[in-house]
Amino acid sequence: MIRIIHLYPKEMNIYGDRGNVVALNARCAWRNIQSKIVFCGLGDKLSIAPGDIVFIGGGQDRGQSRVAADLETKADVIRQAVESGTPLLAICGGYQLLGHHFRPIEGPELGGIGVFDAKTMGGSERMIGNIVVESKHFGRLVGFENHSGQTILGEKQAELGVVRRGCGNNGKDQGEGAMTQHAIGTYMHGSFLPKNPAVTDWLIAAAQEQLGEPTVLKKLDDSLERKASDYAARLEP
Amino acid sequence: MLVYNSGMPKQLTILSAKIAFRIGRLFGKGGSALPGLVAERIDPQVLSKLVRGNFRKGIILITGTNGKTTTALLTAEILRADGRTVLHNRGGSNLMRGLLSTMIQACNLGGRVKADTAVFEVDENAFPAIVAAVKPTHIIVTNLFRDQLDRYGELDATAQKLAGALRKADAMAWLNADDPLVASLASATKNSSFFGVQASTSTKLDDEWSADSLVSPKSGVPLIYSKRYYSHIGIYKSSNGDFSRPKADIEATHPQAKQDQLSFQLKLGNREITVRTKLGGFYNVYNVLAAVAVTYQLGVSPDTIRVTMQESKPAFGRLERIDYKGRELYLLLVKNPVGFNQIIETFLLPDHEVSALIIINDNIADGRDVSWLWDANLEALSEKKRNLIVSGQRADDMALRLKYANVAKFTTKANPEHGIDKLVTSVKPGQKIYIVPTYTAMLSIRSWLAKKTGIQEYWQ
Repeated sequence: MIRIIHLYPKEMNIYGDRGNVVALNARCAWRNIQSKIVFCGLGDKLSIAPGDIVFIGGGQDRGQSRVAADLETKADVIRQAVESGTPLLAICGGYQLLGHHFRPIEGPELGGIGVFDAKTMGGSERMIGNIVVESKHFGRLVGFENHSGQTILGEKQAELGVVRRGCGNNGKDQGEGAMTQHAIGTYMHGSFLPKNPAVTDWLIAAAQEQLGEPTVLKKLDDSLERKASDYAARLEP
Repeated sequence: MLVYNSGMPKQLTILSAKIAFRIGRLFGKGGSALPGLVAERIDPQVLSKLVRGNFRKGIILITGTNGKTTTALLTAEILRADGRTVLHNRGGSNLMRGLLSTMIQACNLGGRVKADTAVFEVDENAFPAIVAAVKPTHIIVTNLFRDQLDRYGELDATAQKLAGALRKADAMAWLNADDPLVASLASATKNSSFFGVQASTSTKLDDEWSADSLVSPKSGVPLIYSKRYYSHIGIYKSSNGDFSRPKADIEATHPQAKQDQLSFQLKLGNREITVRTKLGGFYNVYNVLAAVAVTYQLGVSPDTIRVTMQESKPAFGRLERIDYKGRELYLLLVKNPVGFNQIIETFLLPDHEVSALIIINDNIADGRDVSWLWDANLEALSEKKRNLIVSGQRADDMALRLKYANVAKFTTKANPEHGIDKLVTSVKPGQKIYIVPTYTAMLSIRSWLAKKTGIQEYWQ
């Protein structure tokens, strides 16, 4: 049984983030892989077992300070899980909180839990628009970004891919997202996973591996996914 | 090009803008923003200058995420029935330039408008600047939902903008008691009242994903709902007691909402009346109620209100019925997840067989980010027999959404007009076809239907 753990579903769900959880669940179901969605909110105890996929989305500023404080209590569990190969996807605000910190232009710094070697600074301009990324692992990825935080990766931190169109981590160094073991952080929503099924399947395969189940997944008809991705890849940023 | 010159006489500004309006019409456009653009380029202060000296009986601004157009239309209709002369921005042109264009078209060269009252729907982002320019006497805030985040930003930021504008306004504000974020705006107003609904029903749809305000606007602790009508609209109080649904000054009770009509009871002063309209959908109870509240406050009699509501028709594109080749087509504008869920719950779920065309565009006015489709509960459509077609610039995204919602049967048509023709041939005469378009898709499909059926273009 694969458990899809949706962290802070009430606070961190802003840009159709739910679509990622829907996509993971559906692509398991279409292959007869048993899966279920589990919600884990503020104050809830988090335990991560083999076969779990962890997801955290983006949120409004108001929600994020409470989430940052709560995430601190779950930090050890998440870091250990990622180290031992648990698949994880973090989008936008969730991605920022999985770095070392987020320093907004005004207001207090938000502490992160350091799953990724990344720091985020508040910027005065919002980076909004369609984004196309080329990833060594996954090929072309498409999405929509909407953030003012500028994320700088540490020297040894791997990025998810190179920006072909749009802004990415900080609008300057062409990098987008971060990747550590089976954990991915990215600014791409849209929702992200439905139009990028290679990433969805990679997360599912990683969970299967943890369970000792076959990691070569049954092929699905992805013609609709490809069509939507092809269209999005042609859009202006 | 035109040169900035605020010293130009008002008459000349008006004349230039009126010429721009005529030229726009020659090319068959509604021309809703062009005259405003011209006037604004000549004199940035022109809106406040034009409004000053007009509208001696009041200026009513209506803002919020959903329901602005319908609420404004109903408010204008009731006031007209009461004998007032009303200027109303009908085309839904609700930005600074749109308002200005409405004023330019209506005024004479001296800047006089033959209207004693203005009813303007106003975009949330444009609200602060418009409040400063027109100095409203009354303000209605309908609701606040997540909406086109690439344009509006986060909901909290929108609420803060509205609060800032309300603080500076010298107006009577009508706030939706059942929307926690809107109700919390009361602290920013000098003078506010609440409208709200007491109903025994709760939503049947799992629609929490479209809700943003399930926590106390004061402390951020969760809100507990004794009734949740839809999204975050309902009767609530925070778990620590610091914030609760305020008592409504005007309250609808016993609401009955169907697809093509609704009714509710209401106490106005010591009169108990039943309000009935031909608008369907529970969400329209709020729009009717807000219009009733502000017009009653302005002195319109309960009988005039009741009679006008019985006759009122939907605003363009909002549940508007267009007969085409013997079939009833209904235009249901969709802008955001809450609106989509209301359309699903009211129109697409109850019927055994539904024929619908969903048209998703991603122009700036639609929102370029289509992520919001994933927050609407399309899963609810998976179980029944449906005749669904998806179209528009982002038809593939909508198709993907339906696929992941396990809605097995639908087709994609690149051209929305072909979608309509296909649905028309597949349903029997007299049956309903729902068209669910985003904003720019609605304008173009409505224009096409206007040519085919002879209904008026929206600006006529």
